[in-house]
Amino acid sequence: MTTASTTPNIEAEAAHFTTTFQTIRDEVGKFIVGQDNIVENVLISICCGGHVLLEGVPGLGKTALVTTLAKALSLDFQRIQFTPDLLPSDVVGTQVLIEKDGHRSLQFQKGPVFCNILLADEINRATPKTQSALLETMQEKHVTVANLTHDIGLPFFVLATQNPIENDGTYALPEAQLDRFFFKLYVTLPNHDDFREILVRTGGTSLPEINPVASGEDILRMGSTMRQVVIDEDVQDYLIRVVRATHPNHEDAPKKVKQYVRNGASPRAAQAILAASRARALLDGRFHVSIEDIRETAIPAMRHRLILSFEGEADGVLPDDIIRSAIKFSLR
Amino acid sequence: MKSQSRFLSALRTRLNIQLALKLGTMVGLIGFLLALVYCLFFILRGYEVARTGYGMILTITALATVIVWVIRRKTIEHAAQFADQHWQLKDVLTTAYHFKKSGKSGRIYQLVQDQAAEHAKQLMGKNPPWDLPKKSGSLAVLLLLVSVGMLWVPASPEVLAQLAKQEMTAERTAEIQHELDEYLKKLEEELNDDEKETLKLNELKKWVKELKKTNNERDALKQFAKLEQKISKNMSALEQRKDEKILKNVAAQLMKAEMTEAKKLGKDLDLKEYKAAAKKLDAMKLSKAEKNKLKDTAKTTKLTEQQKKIAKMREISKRMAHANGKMGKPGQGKQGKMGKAGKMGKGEMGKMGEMAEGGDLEEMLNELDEALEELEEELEEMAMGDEEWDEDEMGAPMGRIDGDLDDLAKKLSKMGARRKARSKLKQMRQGLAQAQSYASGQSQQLNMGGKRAGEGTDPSKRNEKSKANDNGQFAQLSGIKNKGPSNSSIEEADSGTGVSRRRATAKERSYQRQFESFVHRDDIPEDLKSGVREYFKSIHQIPTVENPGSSTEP
Repeated sequence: MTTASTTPNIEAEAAHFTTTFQTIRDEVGKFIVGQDNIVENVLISICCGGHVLLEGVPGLGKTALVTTLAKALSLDFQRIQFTPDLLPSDVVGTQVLIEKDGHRSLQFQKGPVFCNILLADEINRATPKTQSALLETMQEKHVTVANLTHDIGLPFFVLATQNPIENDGTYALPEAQLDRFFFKLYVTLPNHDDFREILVRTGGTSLPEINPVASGEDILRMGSTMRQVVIDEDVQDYLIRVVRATHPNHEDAPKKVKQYVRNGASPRAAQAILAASRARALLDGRFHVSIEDIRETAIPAMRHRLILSFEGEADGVLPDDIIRSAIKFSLR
Repeated sequence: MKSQSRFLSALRTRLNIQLALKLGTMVGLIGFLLALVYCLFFILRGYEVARTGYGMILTITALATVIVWVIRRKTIEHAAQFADQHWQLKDVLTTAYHFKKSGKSGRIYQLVQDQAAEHAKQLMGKNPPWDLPKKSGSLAVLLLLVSVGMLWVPASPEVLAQLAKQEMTAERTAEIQHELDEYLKKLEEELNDDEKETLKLNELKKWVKELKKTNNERDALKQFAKLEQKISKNMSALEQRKDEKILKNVAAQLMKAEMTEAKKLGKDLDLKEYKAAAKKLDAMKLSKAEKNKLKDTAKTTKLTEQQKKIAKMREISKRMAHANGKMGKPGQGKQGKMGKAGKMGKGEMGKMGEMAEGGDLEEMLNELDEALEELEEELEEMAMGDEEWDEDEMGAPMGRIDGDLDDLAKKLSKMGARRKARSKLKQMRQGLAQAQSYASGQSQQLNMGGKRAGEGTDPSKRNEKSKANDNGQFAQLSGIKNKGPSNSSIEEADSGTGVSRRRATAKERSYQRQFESFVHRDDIPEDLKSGVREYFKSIHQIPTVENPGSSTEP
């Protein structure tokens, strides 16, 4: 008989998770209108300790969402506007010569990554070298400069935005960096009612006041609670089948994957899906992961991890469609 | 927990019933379609549906349904999965079932079980709607009803007649074979060994044994025709027409004689009682005592009994020899024969016995006559006192006479046996011809060799009349001339091997008529017409050949 190592008050922890999550969402919802799904996924990513890549045309509230979230979470927030001339040292920090008491010495000057929430705005405008500077930071949560490693405090989240239509002067993110992002979310145009609400809220003399409703500790606690959610072996097998089905070399992969995909999703994608599914299960009041959770989280967790083939790019195939076919194909 | 188990068990039962109904419909659809095809297969050909096969199809369908159901029947796990999907429970029942099955414990697992139990409790009493293939089910029922209805469709009159005919053919072929067996058994009892050998009775038995019981009229007729052909072949081998003609002439000559013995012998030969004739010839031989007496009385001028007997024998032999136109003087014949005998080697002398078996009858008769003539001359010379009894001179012709009489008697016996065998074969062949008619239903009575007195009634006529049999007969009666199958077409004889039953004269006449019709035509010159007329007159003039036997009548 297997015994799960759970905290004795799992119900209380689950309740805290749900309450906190809902509180943050409500607080963000004061300013951000009509992006419930985006807000929820961003919050799930944060709970899971993952970074989010937000993609959408300018003006849809990507930056506003991140800043609002940072305010609601009462966390140290930094923003970097990525431009082609941005250097890695501008991101992670650099050694500067400091003269003190007649002595000159090199001192590490922390970059903007030393925060809890980093907004990497228009990340695909910087050169690959600068983009890569974020790699170590995002994965290891520390920075190494001049052979000296500097820890970044937890929690640490990178919320990056990129504009899909501005291809001129942009550099596509390398696969390795894309894989570091927990979710890639598409910010879409709000509907008519939401549009009106945006205008009402932002067109007046005063803006909604965002108060901090959760701390970094709350986020870490929520992450801990979430990991206790159990998953049935069958559901886990389904998750593995879905991820494996995105690989064109896999013999059971759907035809679409074999035709249009060059590289499938990595095991890190499976980890992301599982973590996000657990969060969704808790939010749904369950203590187990269901296949529906897997289906819901598979698309934002894998869409940026699929590398399309030349044919796929030429035919304008969307990764979401490929993932949907893998999900359908892997049904038990 | 209990509510969860009860709910899943109830759901599983319902799912299994649903599965059984679905499978029953789907497998039934296939099975009933097959049953319908099976029924149509019979009905379209005019037959009545064989119910055994129909029953088997339904049984196999039912068995297949049960087997597939057993293989695919739902478990608790299936029920849990179904409930999760149907009521959108997000895998709570399946997960709880798996956790329980794998024995996982802990607070979190307990919470999952509690949630599953709560859902089960809420769903208790709720059932998913029956998901049954209504269209397929209706179609299956329709197919079943139609196929069941087809079971009562009767066979067409033609098929009934055909079946009855097949049955009749099978019965009749068996009956014919039985009759043939009986006939051969009767022959075996009747005939002696020589006759059996001549008849080749064992070969006949073998052929009859090879006959097979069949319901196919064509096969039946074919095998009877084959047997008939074999018998005809055997009959041809027993042909002795030439010898019979000789003996007929001999009989005619003998009947003209004044002697009673000659007349009796002639009568036997005329009636083709060859065995009796052979006995009479055997009785003509001089016994040892008679020969001794002849030796003593040879010198006397008065005719003794023995001399009279020899004279009678001579009279008979002369008539016999000259009946078929013996050429030349008797003395010449004798010399010729003696010369031949002198030249004969030992081996060739041994062939004299063979002559009795299949030798030339005419030659044998001449031989006998010559021997008797020689003996008569010797006796005359002795009576005149010219010569004394010489054992060598007298013994030779007497020995030859005995031998010739023996050979002639043997020849006649053999001919008798062959005649009998031929007669039996002929009877059998006629029986087989009749059997073919009987097997094909053209005749209602099988009369192998004719029935005995008082047995001629057909017992089948006393039985209740079958409609089918009548149908067969009606079909025969209502047939159109020259439109039905010909019996003669079954066997194709090799060209030139058959015996023509049509007389040659008839052909000639038709040929003559044809030519005469040409002759009557106006466009033919008169001289050509008369020429043709004269030609036919000349070829149809029967030559008035005098019977040589009658011309040499003493």
